[in-house]
Amino acid sequence: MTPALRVARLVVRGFRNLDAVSVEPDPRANLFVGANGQGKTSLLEAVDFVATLRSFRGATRSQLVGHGVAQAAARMVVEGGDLAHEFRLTFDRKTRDATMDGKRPERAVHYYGAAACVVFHPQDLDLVRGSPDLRRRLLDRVLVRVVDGYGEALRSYARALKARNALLRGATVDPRAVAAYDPMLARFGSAIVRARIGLTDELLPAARAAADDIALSGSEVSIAYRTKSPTDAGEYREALARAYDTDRARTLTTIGPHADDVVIKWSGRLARDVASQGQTRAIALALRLAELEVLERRSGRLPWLLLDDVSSELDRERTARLFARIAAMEAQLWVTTTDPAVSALLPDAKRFVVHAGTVNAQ
Amino acid sequence: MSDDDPIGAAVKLLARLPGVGEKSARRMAYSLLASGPQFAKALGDAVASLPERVRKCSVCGTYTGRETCNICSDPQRTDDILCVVARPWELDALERAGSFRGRYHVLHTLLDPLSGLGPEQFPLDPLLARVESAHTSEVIVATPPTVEGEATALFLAEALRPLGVKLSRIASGVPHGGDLEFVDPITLGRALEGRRGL
Repeated sequence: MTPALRVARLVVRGFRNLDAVSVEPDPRANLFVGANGQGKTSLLEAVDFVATLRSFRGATRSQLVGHGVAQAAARMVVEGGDLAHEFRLTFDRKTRDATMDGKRPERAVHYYGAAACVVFHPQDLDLVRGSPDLRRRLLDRVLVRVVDGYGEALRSYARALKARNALLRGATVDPRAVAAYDPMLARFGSAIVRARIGLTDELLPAARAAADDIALSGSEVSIAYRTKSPTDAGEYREALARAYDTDRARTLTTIGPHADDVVIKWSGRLARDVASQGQTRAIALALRLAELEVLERRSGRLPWLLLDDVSSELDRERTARLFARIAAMEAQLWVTTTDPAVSALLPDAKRFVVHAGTVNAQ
Repeated sequence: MSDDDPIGAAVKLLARLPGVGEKSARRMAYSLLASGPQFAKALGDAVASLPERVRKCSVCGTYTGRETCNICSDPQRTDDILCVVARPWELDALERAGSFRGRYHVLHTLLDPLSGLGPEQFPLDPLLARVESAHTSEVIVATPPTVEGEATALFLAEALRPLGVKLSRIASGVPHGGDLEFVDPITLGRALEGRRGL
């Protein structure tokens, strides 16, 4: 059986309304109960933020630093796999410092790969209905954890793209300066697109199987990566050169992984147009389960799961099936809920009460 | 304010240096106090006289105590090859390697439109003038292998091409004594792209 990653300890200070929280979760199931607005989602967001250095709610660091707090800090110990790893993070509005086992990681994949978790949350409806960047982020979450050099390629790509776009926006445009970024965009961009296409192909069968398990007909679901970018760096560079006039007119770079999307279909048509609310939720959930399965397969370690506000996400039958599927996996679970019926599905879970930014074991 | 809190004032100034956080700055300030007035005075004088005693070489732009630096005034070096670097300390590093016998040109900057350094602000003309007036046959661009360094290299290459000089870029790749297994994929990919015949 694949070894499961588990959070053994989490300490958070000054993160949103969490002034000072210390949690020792159970290796398996953990239930966080409390009324809305007490900090349940923020707690899961903090865990995922340490693991990915991004907020799954799309929040900026300024929004995450608590009121009247100069600096937010977190410490998280993750066990499972080989050795335990300690992640430490401090950040304020301007700066961020993340270390793993006392050192800044030399490679992104070492950090992200050792802190692999999957989040299910109510805003996941936007995976199907929202903007393309949410779907690209789903792919990137997996790839930074399993492909050495992917995180670095994303960062360099973003930097070169920003610079190129700044030049295209200028009052006078120097084509030599704009073209100076093309080889880098081609090298990193084509590598990003290749990795994303490969991952999408892997996610599709996993998402279909997961959909079947949660009472949705998997064969009706399809996902495909849509891009205008060639996967060959040489052709990519030519495409950039050909698009120069368009780019100049629109004052931005029009081709590249930043403009791509994952097209999700239901019964052969765009899911956001035809899928019902319930189907949309189930498709999003199937994508998250596929994310989990591919992460497990590629990394050889089972990620832990963060399930936010479960009852509002699914109907009763799907919730029961979801828990049955997860229970068979031995993954560590963090579930937040306001719903006693959900609590009843996890009778052996360690229970925590979340109230006014505090978290206490019951 | 500095009358009331001279330590705090010193810490604030020290923390503005690159790589120095507030904690290190505080340690430096207390260490200066502990090591006695002579050291602090000597350090202060050395720092204060830097801008007076050091200027940019009128030929290559590196820092020197004279009108032209040692390298530019060395008759043994060849004018054929010009090596373009971004920063004076990168020139120092290349000199320590000891194998280059040509001349240098220090840009003091990189193309970086996000920090307000676009093509119009870029100090291109002094370099073009120098390549044209000297008997340069080859220009080596030794800007760092970062996004800004790569963009600068390509920008310079396009600007220098009409002058008909040979253009080259320093190779980037696997460090000497390095283990291929531990080289990051970007570097390894570039090392493969930039391979040469045996």
